[in-house]
Amino acid sequence: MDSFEAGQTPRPEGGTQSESLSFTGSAGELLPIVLFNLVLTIVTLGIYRFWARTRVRRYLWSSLRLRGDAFEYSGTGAELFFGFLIALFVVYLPMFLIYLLFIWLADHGHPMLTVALALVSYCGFIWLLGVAAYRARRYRLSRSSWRAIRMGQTGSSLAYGAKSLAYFLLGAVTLGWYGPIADAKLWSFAMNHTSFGDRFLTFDGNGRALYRRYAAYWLGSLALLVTGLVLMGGTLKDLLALFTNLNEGDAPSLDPGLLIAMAKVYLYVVAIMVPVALFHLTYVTARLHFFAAHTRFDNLEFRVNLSSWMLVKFALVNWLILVTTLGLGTPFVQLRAARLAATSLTVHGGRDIDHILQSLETGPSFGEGLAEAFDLGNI
Amino acid sequence: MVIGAEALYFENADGTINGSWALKRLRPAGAVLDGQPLQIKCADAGAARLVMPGRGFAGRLELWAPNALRRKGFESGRWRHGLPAAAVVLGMLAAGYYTLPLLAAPAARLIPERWAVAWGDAILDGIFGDDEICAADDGARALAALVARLETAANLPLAVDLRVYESGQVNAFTLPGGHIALLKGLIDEARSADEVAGVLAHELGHVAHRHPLEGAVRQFGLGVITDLMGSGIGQYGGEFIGLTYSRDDEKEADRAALDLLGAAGVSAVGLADFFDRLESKHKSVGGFMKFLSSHPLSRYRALRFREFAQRQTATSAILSDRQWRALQHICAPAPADEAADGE
Repeated sequence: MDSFEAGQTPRPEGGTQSESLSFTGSAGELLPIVLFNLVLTIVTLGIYRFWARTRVRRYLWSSLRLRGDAFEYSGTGAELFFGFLIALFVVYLPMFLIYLLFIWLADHGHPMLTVALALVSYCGFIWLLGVAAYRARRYRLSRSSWRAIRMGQTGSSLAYGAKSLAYFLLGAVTLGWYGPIADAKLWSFAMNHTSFGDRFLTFDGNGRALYRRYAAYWLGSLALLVTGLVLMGGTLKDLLALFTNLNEGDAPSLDPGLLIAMAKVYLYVVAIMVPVALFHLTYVTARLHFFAAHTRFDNLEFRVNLSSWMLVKFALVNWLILVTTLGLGTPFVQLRAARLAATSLTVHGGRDIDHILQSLETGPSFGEGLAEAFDLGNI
Repeated sequence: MVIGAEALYFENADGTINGSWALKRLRPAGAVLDGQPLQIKCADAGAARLVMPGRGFAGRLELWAPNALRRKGFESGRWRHGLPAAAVVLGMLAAGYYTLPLLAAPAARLIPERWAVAWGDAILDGIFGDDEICAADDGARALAALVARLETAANLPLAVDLRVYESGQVNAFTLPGGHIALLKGLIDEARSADEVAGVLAHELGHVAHRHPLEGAVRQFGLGVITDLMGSGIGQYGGEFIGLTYSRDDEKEADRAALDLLGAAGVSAVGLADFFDRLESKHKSVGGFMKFLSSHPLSRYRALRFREFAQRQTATSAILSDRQWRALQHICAPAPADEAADGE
């Protein structure tokens, strides 16, 4: 027989001006988890990865606190595994059938139909990516709770996929200018369907406010690209000449001139892509601020305290981690992302959220199988 | 709160019991972290959670209901549970490895021959596109005679479509649907028609055992399994498995080749010489690369061919000198010239 008196746990009171999340996770605590995951994943030839991912998420969620109480991740590895098996049929079987169709068409000489099939497959693939991303988000939300209050996401993933396909095509046609509006619309769809307890979040922004930053990114990147092409012009011509000469002989000779030219082009590409990526991060920062400013939950407002420079530093260190660990360091990147989110996000308004009722939707029972098929695991 | 013999009891201020959670049904909610409050749930109590900030009560609960703080099997994150579970999974994968090839053969038989022929055709188109198929009259006739002598000795399940492509590479390969591609480079490298016949006998062995189609079905099945195992780690394992079966296929084709040559009355010495020459030209690869390559080492194969040849009686050259010269010029448009030294 053992007894315990439930004392008054000191709890930060509601009604204050702003709250923020606290993150108590550390790389030191995560390391044994990651190592254990690595060994078991190797021993099971990869099958353990669903459980590995679940363990990391469980740790990260439990290290995130709001008003002293931790979030809880209630997903299981088995759910992810079965979701993956189901996705195998949904994705691989059609892909195989389409491949057979391609062969049949090619054999019977229907060039127009072959091209049409290729286009349809490509669009279908992009659509599926959107569907998978939305379903994955729904799974993760439905397995997240705080003080036993569950989160959720409604809305049709097929519709979301269709939207993301449409916006992708519009973006391609407008050379990217449609981007900010597309981002805002997709975020709006997802957010307005996201629930905490029995209430939904709301998002009311349209992307127009983002255009100033986006234009800077777009025009800056264009300028870099043009400059790069002009500077690279000579090298590219040489490379082209070397390649056409190559087609005459049977075996490619290791012409040092060819190698040098290829190396030069590679360096040029890297030298251009890096600043473009950095430009893009400034746009991403502005977008984060914008999203936070227009998202609301009841009377609670959100604010993000993040500068472009902070995001760039964050991204660079993440890139370094991933490169040096050959991708195995992803959980540490996720840890850093959680910590960044906790330190930069603040919630304003102080309405007492202790009264939120339990949501009745239980959410999907299988994990993000479709996203797994596309390797879309991020957090 | 009181820990009873069977359950956790929740007491009101006045001592009356207001609920209970069975000890055996307690589970951790979220990660169990040192220095952090412990959150537990009851499998029967739905979404309700109990949070215990101090270490004291959690420690005592651990004694009476360890399941409140630990998970089982793969979810536990502990070596004692994780490794046995991993061993079981490995066992299942191994079982799959042994049963899969048994499935590939009957599955391949389900594929209509027309599809296999069309597929092989499409692959050849993909590789060679508009490249010229060598078909100079005399050379094509000589080749047809060579193949006919081998085919009558064989018992092939499908018709053979043999094409010579004008490529400098020393290679010949078989595709689904009875397609065999023979590259000019191989004819150039060979010193007699018997050597070419040996290589073709090997390819006919692949056709006879339906290796290309079975191999493709097997690779597809393996592909599904390796995707199950995820990118990176699992895929290398899958490739090893694929290579092992390729080596078995090659051995089987070698045996079939010897049977064919024997039945057709052609000496296997040509084949042995050919491989010996190839072996010395490309220095043998050592140890690890040996394991990785799908073709058994040329040297061992040549030895087996030579041993077989020594036991052969009553052999004759598969083509006459004139036919052999014609075959060597199969890619040239000009008629075979007896005065010219073909080499």
